[in-house]
Amino acid sequence: MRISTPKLIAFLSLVALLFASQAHAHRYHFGLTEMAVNERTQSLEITHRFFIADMERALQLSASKEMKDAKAQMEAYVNERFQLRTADGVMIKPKWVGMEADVHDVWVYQELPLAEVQGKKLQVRQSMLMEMERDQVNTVNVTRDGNTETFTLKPGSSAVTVQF
Amino acid sequence: MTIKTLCRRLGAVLLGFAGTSAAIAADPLNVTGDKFRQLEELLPTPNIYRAASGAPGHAYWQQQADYDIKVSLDDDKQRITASETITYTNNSPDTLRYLWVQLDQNRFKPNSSGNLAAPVDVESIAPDTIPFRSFRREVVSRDFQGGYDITKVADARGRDLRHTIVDTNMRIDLPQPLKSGDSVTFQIGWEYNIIEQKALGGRSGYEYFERDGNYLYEIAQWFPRMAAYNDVSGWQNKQFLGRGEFALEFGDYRVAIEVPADHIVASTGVLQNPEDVLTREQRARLKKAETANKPVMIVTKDEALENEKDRATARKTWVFEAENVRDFAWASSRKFLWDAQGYKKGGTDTMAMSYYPEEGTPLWDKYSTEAIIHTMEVFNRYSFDYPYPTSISVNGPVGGMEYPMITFNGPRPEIDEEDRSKRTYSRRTKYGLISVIIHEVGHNYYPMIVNSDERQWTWMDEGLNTYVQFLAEQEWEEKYPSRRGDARKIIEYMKSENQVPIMTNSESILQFGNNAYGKPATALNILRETVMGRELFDFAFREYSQRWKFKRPMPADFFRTMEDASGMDLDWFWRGWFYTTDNVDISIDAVKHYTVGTKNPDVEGPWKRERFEEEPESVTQQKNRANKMTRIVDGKPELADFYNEHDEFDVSNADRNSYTGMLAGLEDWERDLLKVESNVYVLDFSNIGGLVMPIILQLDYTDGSSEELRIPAEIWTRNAAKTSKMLVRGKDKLLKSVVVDPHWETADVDVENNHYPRRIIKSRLELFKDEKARNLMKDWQEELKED
Repeated sequence: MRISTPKLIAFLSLVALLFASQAHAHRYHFGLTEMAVNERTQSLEITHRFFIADMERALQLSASKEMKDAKAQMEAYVNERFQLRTADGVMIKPKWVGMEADVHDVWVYQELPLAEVQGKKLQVRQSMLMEMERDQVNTVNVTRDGNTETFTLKPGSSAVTVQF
Repeated sequence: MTIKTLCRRLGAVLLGFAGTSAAIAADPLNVTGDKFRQLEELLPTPNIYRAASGAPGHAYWQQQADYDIKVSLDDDKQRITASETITYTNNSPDTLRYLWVQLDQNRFKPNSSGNLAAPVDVESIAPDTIPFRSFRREVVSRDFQGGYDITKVADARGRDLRHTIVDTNMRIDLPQPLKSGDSVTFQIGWEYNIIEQKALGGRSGYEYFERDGNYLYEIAQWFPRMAAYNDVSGWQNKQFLGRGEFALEFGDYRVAIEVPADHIVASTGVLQNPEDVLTREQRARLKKAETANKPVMIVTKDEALENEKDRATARKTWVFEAENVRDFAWASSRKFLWDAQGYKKGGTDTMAMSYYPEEGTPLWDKYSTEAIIHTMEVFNRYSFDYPYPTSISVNGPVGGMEYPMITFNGPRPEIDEEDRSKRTYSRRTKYGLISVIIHEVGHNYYPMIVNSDERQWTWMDEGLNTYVQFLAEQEWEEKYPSRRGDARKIIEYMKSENQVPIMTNSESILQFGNNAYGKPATALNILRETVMGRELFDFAFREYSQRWKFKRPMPADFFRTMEDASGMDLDWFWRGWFYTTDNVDISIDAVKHYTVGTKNPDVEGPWKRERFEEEPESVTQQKNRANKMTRIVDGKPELADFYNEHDEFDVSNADRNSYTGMLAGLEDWERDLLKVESNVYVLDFSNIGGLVMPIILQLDYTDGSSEELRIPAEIWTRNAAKTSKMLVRGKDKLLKSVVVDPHWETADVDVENNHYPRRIIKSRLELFKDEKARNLMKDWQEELKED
């Protein structure tokens, strides 16, 4: 009997090897995604917060130079690794709103009209930075009516189904 | 008669309808979840080793481990060969039949528990793919011959000792049991391959510089060292899996380090033979540095660049001695620049020194040594005077790691490869470097001197150190971008449900940084600023540091000392912040307005009429009036009588007589109270997050004035879910609005319910959209250029 041997593909687009990690010995490999229902504006607001140092490594950018092109790269990266799908597997792509950064963190903003998700059961996959660190933990907070529901995503279980 | 009956006069609701109130608890008296219940059953019973006050007990003891080590660094093979003589003194009341020794390097053996137990992600992005980084680590781990090669375990006279290696620990069986008060001397020989830090991570290792073909070594966890034996855990021989750091004993060290003759060695301890290893010029510069008021170069950049080209075949031995340290680390390279500056203040007399390759300039020469001194300046004030003779910061591959007297710190500027003189560093790199140096040098206090057990409780050193780090950062410059400490920075984490309490063993912590660094540091800062006040907190925190200096504290010793020295019962705070994952969310649900009823019918009658007339006219009446309806009484005045002239609010003499009679029956003080013309407000709060906290209020009045009121957490003692507060204010003080936690000092996770009346709070995304004109990438691109 033939045993299938699927090929292991290492991601060349994210060549982490070449990049020196300038981090504390105690790294925390943690990201936060907030999905908040805003009844007033009738939108699902999505905010991703990650550590800049991690993001730079993921995008292979250095702090002082290539950041000028970061927006397009970041958008592609977020779209690749943060995905919403309906039960039938149809992808719902959030609208890109923008990004900002301070000394420590980078925030990425996306949104969706509430009507597009209301009442639907969506698979939320948040695997940002999981290609970098095997102990990456991404927390997804879903907030509506002041109540927060939390999902902990890790490599190997990077998706969760949420009823909106 | 009481105030309560006086207040019965109709309370006009000034501020509209009360907000929705929280669900009524099933256990309204909250007996089961008593947030103020004392910690008795959670904390260990005090004993002769650890007193109920939180101080070391009268029979407190700890073991002593002294080391004499000879080590040789092979620069061609990146290999360590060494031998040591350990003298172990048993100060415990117990007899020991065996000793446990830590073999931390064994974590890098291909089949270590740490490696075997590490999961890999195979489905994060697509089926049949694995992350490049994980893949590399697996491959390198398999091929790399890491871990100790133990070449000898023998007694003082060289006779072999029976020993058993259990992963990252080794048990040595003693031929004779070691009695209380006795010492035993034995020898260990070993070798190991130094790991490439960037490939395998970890807290030490080498870095290879392709441009000049040189290596830079940061050497730590490099010698078999005594596991801790203490009154709480017995032998602390939990395996080293990579996260829970170290539990160690104090001792004296003499270490002889043999390296290529052109290397510069930075190390724990004081150099014993400068005349053998340093030039006359270098020794003169060091002398000058002792009293200098800025860093003096001991090895200049030009000298280091010249040194880089060298490949000495001769060897030199650097001898260091250190007293009363719990660990020993060192670094070596021919690439090092070296600067130094003496720091003498109070009980501190030390040499602050930095070692870095030229790749670290122009950042390291400017900030490293200054940051070391600044750290001691601030930490000395909040803890105790730094007692060691040196404090060192080394730049190499390790991002940030602490050892006694020596720290390894990572951030470097960007170098333009085409023109190496063109160097820039981002704002993030600059503050990243200053922060990491403050953090790692701060670790000299916690846990290098206040010797907590890191393998068990990460927060005891990381949390306390991160808290003082925050104070030191804020003293560096105004608006220093601290990552942790400020209450508002921890809100997103506190709001999440997937947390474990701070009181969780190091290996089981989820979200290490937030749990063991951010939350305890923020909790302490809130305790200081909002709960205890700076004076009480600082005294108690310093007392804890002084009591446990060069000793081994446990969590209860910290909790108890903070209460013992401040005279405050803080059990509710420890219970909430350290033993649960509750968050702070205090809601102001309603504000009710009352004025005092005088009982005087001539005052109350018109007052009631006024209130009645304030009520909106009914729709029927409005329409009847609009239609100019004629009433039968208007056309037939004979139908009117007494009741058409006097309504229910008119005051009769009978009312007046009854009032006079009532007054006569009152005491003087009761009559006085009736004349009080105050506004009385009752504010209703509910505790949604679970953590009981002080209620900080901003009260704004219609006359434009504002008042701040700080209500202690004890307001929640009778009912931790709901409480009310009555405020009596002057007759002109009409409340317009109330804000809970106006300065965002309690980490309240939902500010929307902090306002009465409610106001719309914009989300972060909405605020972002509002600032369209802003250049989004500006912060990232902000560079400091130096030639």
